[in-house]
Amino acid sequence: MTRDEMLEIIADILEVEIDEVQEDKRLEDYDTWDSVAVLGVISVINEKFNRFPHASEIQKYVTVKDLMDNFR
Amino acid sequence: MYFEFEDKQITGVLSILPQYESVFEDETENPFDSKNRRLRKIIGFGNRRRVKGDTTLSDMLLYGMNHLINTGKLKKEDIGAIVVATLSQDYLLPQVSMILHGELELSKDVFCIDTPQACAGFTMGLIEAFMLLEHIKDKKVILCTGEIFNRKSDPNEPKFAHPSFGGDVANITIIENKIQKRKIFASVYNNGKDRNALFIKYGGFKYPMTEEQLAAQTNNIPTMGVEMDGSTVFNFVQKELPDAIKELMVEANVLAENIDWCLFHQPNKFMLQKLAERIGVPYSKVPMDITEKLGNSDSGTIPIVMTTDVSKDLLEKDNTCCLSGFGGGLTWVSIIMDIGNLDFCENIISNL
Repeated sequence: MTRDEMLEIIADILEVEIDEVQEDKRLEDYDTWDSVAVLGVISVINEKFNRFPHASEIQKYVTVKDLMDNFR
Repeated sequence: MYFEFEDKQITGVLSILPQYESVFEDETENPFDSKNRRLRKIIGFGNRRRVKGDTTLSDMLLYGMNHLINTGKLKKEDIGAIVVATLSQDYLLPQVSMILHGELELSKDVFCIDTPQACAGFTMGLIEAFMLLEHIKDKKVILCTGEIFNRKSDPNEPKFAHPSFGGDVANITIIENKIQKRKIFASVYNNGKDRNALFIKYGGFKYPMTEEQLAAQTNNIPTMGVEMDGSTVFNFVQKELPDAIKELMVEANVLAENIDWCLFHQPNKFMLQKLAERIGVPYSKVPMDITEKLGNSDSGTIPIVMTTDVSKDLLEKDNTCCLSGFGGGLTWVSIIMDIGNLDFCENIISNL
């Protein structure tokens, strides 16, 4: 998955514009980083990488970069 | 476990709805805040049905049975077995099937059994019905499903801090021996290790109901308190269901494009969309609006899909259907079978 694809997916999950997705930004600073977003992340990882992470694993991510590092 | 059955058919489905409706905007505190709006988008909160504070599931089922008998759709003497699959038992004892047996004054050789099943209740009940039909020949099996977790009598609905989506319904499905072109293919799988991912902790012998819960129940405030590990359940559905269904398609020699209807349990819209994508069937073949229209009624969702969304097809022609019930246990039960030309397939609204 390219960096641009990742940014597009994350923007979609967080319901923000792509230019608002910055790698060093903390996830908790987005109002929409909630259980629905976590489910969205799990679904993308299911679909693209055939992995099935628990919500507790996703909730440990601190920054957007942590999220991107796991999109592989 | 894998099953094949021959010459058995569903011949009628009736869903009994309570007259009262709860509306998401009215019963939820802050229905339009960001989280609730986002939850609504993926789960599909809308309207859901609720029974009166003193209604039990057996009341709903008796209403339906009397309707079938009084309209000539079912004769008492044709009943060979009653199978009840629900968590909404009236009592620990007697069983719901025995209440129906007694109130309908059925013959003493009618087989009665209750099985405490949740979301896989309808499909598990069908398998039980098919097995019973090997032995009761020309009699019919009556499969009763549904749930009343949304029961409350307060006309001024309390507001809930968190959205809830349980809906009340009861269903009666008639299954009988009948010559069929296609065999029935079914599989049942279980994963007891993750059993606590769907958990109703209180009310059994290990953790009796607390005084607070008991008081809430006396005041008819919903107390069922289903605890759910959402991501474990979501992952379980995405990981296990597609394999189980694809395996069954191979056994049945049916391609995804030959399936007319996927009649799945309906926990929420997002989960069903993702499941449809992984199986390779278009959304148009997977009805997924029941949670939004009527709420999640556990063992009642598959029959209510049949009577609400696809009844015209089920009445007028034969349809190759893929059924799947999945959830508490964790249990997942899938069936590929033809369903069609039913004698009846309808909803009735009760005064309960």
